[in-house]
Amino acid sequence: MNRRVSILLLAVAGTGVTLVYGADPLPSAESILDRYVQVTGGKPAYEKRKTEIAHGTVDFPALGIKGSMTRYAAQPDKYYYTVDIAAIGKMESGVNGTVAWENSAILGPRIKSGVERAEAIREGNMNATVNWRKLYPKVENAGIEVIDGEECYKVIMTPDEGQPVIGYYQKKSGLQVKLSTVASTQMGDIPVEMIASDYKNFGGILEPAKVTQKAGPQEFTMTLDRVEVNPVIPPERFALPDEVRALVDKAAAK
Amino acid sequence: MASFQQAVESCKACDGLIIDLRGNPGGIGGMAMGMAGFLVDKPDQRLGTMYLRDSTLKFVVNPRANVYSGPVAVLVDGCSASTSEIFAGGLKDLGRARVFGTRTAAVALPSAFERLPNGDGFQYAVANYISEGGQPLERLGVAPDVVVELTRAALLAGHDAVVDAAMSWIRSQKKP
Repeated sequence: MNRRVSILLLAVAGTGVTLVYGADPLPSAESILDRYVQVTGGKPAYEKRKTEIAHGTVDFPALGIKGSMTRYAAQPDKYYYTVDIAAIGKMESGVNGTVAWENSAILGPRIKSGVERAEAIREGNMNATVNWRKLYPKVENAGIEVIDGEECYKVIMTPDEGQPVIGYYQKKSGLQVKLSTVASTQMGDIPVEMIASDYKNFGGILEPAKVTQKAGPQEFTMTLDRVEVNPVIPPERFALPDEVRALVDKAAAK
Repeated sequence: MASFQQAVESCKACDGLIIDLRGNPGGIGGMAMGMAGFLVDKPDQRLGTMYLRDSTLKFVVNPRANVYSGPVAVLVDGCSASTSEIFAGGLKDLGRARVFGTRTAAVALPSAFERLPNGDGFQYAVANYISEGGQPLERLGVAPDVVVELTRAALLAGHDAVVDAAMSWIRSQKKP
């Protein structure tokens, strides 16, 4: 899964972390990221995937609310993500290659700009896992930390625009078990932490079936149930909703 | 939110809108922003700001495509709490609504819930919240623009004095 820092801020870390000073020389960040590609299916498996539709659920246990989640993605840089929660409504976001947008029951229709747009465009890169060199010009292995009793390499990935993303990769399995960053949102910068677990094979690529995300005071879990591999997705799926299109036209007219 | 949207959109030609938050204990804070977007037509407005230990979140209002621009009255009482207070207080501070009734509960700190090992729920504050006017809602609540108390006699006579006051104000706003 190209883990996306998809903030569902309804406005309102679960793992113990211990720094370990290892005696062995650390592998390079590049080799850790390449190994992650390898252990989750390998570059050819990712490159074979041109489109996908992922289906799952979201659960905000503290609020007692649940919803459905669907994510459409197409090579190279298009995605549409929708979360539907009965108590709130629909929250949609997407990237059509150039425009990053959101249309939610909470924040209404809007176009993302600046760092927030840059982050969304990166998330829109369908095979971000393979394309890390393009997305993060600077990567660094910052050492080893123990997460849930497992030694993990801490890799700091720095993009051209936006805050660094820190990935934690198990020394033993090579799998990414945690991501942390500071996400830029219209409401402000928010520290985000995602715990990935329950890796499963979805059409030739290992993806975490469960991702628990903590953003600010709020925690929710995304569960991936099913991934359609290389389905035909009509281009309209990635078209801007009317409300967002109206904002784009309005901005262009200025 | 969909029901609220339908209500607002069906009321485009109405002389005014009354949003009754009396007895409403609140809920999801973000809903206040979402609802306000149907009533505020100026961009870059906010209801208030939430201060966490490691971040500051602005409760921004993004105007919707079809904003209701007529008079808005918000009704509150001592049981209007949390998100209800964020909504009422924010719209009052923005000058977008006139608030009727009695002072709100003054319990508006953003909170989180945990399930304790014995099954009990534990709710605790995780942030401070300052309404757009610069005052905290916690402890102070939202003071109505027009204080109206319910009376037993009026209720028995079939009158809701708070609604009556809001209706009267809306009528007074009608342009000749």
